[in-house]
Amino acid sequence: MKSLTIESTRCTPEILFDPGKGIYSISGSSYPENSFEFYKPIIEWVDSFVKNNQNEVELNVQMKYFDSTSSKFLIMIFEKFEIFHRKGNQVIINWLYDEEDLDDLENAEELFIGIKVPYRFIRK
Amino acid sequence: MAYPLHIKAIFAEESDSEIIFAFNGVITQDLIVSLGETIRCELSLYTNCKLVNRVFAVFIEIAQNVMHYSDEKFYFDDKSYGKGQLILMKNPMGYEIVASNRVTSSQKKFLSERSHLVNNLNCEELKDLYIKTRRQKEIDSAKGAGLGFIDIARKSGLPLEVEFEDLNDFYYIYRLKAMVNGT
Repeated sequence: MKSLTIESTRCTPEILFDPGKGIYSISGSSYPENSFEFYKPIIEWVDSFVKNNQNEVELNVQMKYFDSTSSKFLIMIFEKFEIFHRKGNQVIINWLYDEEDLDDLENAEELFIGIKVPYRFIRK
Repeated sequence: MAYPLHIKAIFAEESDSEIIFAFNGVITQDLIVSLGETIRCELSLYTNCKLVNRVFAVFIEIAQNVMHYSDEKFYFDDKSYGKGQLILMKNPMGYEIVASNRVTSSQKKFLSERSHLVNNLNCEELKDLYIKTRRQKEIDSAKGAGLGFIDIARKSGLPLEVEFEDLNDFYYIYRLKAMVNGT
């Protein structure tokens, strides 16, 4: 499957989804002008990946900031990987957080409420 | 359409507040990003990273609301941007983020109800409402379901101050003030 690469901007995160290399990563800030427009191709890519592949996935997420609307889309991405996991694939989501800011960790913990996918919090 | 500048009134009544920045005009995404960076740069000189992030987060949500939902819209590049005011102030207690923009009477109704609701909830109840609202499936542009508004309430010291001023029979000036405590 073709990889997905989106370079970061000051208000959108870098996206690297490369099944060939086994790299899955979301990092940076997320407060796009139009979140729906920004996240639509990403959700579509993950959706197609989940339906058509069998793989081990280790998704690294390292967010400097995400706004409330972006959090909705991050949850949608995690839910896709939850389906992937339910299909018998090995999945782990690593959430990297800043030890100086525990708000960040609390925000992240709330994202995983009700999502049955293996995840862990890693201090940067 | 022009309406009276309210910045003057805000400055006069906030005598113990120092203005970090104040903007009046069309709120574009680039402007929000730049003001956000101003917050990170300037505040990190004299305050801790957790508080900087909190002020930043509240500011972004508030500024986005003006950009998306101000009733006074300007169009360019096939996009529309709302006009309004964004002010960041520092006082001995912490930081105040003030926004104001024009709204219609139905927006006034929505905002009054929302602010009344969030101002009557405690932290746990706000958390529950936030999570519940976020779980609603529709990603309707339709006013972000007020998710941002709940987020602002959660990250700032309550209560949110919301005021409306009659402009004429159809429009109001909406003013929101959120406080983030800490120095």
